[in-house]
Amino acid sequence: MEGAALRIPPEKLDSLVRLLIPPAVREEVTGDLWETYQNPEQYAREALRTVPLVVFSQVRRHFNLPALLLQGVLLYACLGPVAAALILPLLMVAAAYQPATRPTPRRAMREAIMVAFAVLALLQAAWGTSGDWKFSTDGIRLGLQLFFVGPCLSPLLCLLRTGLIVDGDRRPSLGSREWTTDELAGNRDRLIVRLRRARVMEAAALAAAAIVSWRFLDQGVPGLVLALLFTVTALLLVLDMPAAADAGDFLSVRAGYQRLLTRQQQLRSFLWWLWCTPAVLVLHSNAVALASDGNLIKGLLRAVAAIMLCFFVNALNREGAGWAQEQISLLGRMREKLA
Amino acid sequence: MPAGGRLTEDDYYNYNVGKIMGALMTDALGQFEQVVLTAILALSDNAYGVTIHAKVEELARPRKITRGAVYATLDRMEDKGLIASWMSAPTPERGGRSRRHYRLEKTGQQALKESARTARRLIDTIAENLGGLGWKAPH
Repeated sequence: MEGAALRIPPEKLDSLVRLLIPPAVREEVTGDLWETYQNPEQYAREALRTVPLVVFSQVRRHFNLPALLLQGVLLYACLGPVAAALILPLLMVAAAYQPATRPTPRRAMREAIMVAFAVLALLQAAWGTSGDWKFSTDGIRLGLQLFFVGPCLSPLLCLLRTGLIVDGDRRPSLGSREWTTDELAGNRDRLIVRLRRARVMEAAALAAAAIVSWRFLDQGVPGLVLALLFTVTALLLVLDMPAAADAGDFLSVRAGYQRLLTRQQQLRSFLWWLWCTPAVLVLHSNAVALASDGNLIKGLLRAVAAIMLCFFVNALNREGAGWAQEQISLLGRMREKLA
Repeated sequence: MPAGGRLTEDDYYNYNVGKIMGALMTDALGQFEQVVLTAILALSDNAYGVTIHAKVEELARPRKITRGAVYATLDRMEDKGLIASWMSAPTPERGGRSRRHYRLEKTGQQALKESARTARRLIDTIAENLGGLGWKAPH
């Protein structure tokens, strides 16, 4: 084995392979490829045969159909069918490549600032292309207002993101210490109790939202669809409560805990999009109506609000998914403490 | 079939059982899942990506199996709760990376036993009606 240990894949090739393998399985798959390394050609051939199936498997594992359907509706309504058809597969692949940890604060801030400046650029471009109107008193005043929106928007998004980071930091973590089977099972059971309680509360909130959307928002088809969606989700939440897990040895308890965390994160992601989708659709339809009436800037401000809402939900899901992946990873490395 | 070599009874057994099970099995486990579960069972404490792949190739011969197919099946069976996995300590021959070890869960053991029982019934029935299979199935 000593001879084999000396054979190391070329650094660039190894980096490329590492880049192609989704983070959730990167360590074990690249480790297996290292272990069977013979020469660069064999390594590349093996990687080429392995990576597509590994990526496909991760796409399947992270496939969240309900959340994806909601994102598809949003993309279709806001950007049209072509954009939806192009972006949805990208979202599926992006989910497979989601990091195995929460985003670092630095990266999160950088993304928030980038979104803020992209929105500002959008607003400025719209003002710049609004014809002679921009030279009127109102146009110049709005142009100046837009000039100040950017510096305000950036700290606002950073503040929102900081709140999410702090909230994530305060979440209880399993830590890296050793656990006995009973301790781990107790921790999992406490999580199940908390999840059940949270689901009952969320189901009640969804039922209330169903009544509101049916009675006050829109009496037509969209209101009916929304009311049905909220009702069905509330019912599913109540009917599909996490069940008390069977007793087992350390490995079984740990595997069950990991599956519970994965399922919960997928459900949470869907629920955040469910709450946000109606608001984004309303903002978008308002934006379109205002812009077609000539109130371009007011319409754009609503579009900005919709973008910010999507940014916020996306950030929530990234923090949540990162936390869940961290806990799953910690569980995977956890050693059993003998009682 | 193995190139250039005579078929042994084991080869014939593995090949035919694979064919029969692939064509006729209707229970929850697919043929490849059964092979992977059997590999994990046989490897016991040493079941991780490289060894499972090697064992699966041995069990499924003469078919060539890619390691990616093994990973995909392991992921699927882990989601179904048939197997459990954990990470070992990092090792230098893997560039300081850990292995993901696998073990059969109770549901996996039950599913595998059920598959074996079904395979046995199929083999017995076929042998009974065709006047033997031309080889002796191990009992």
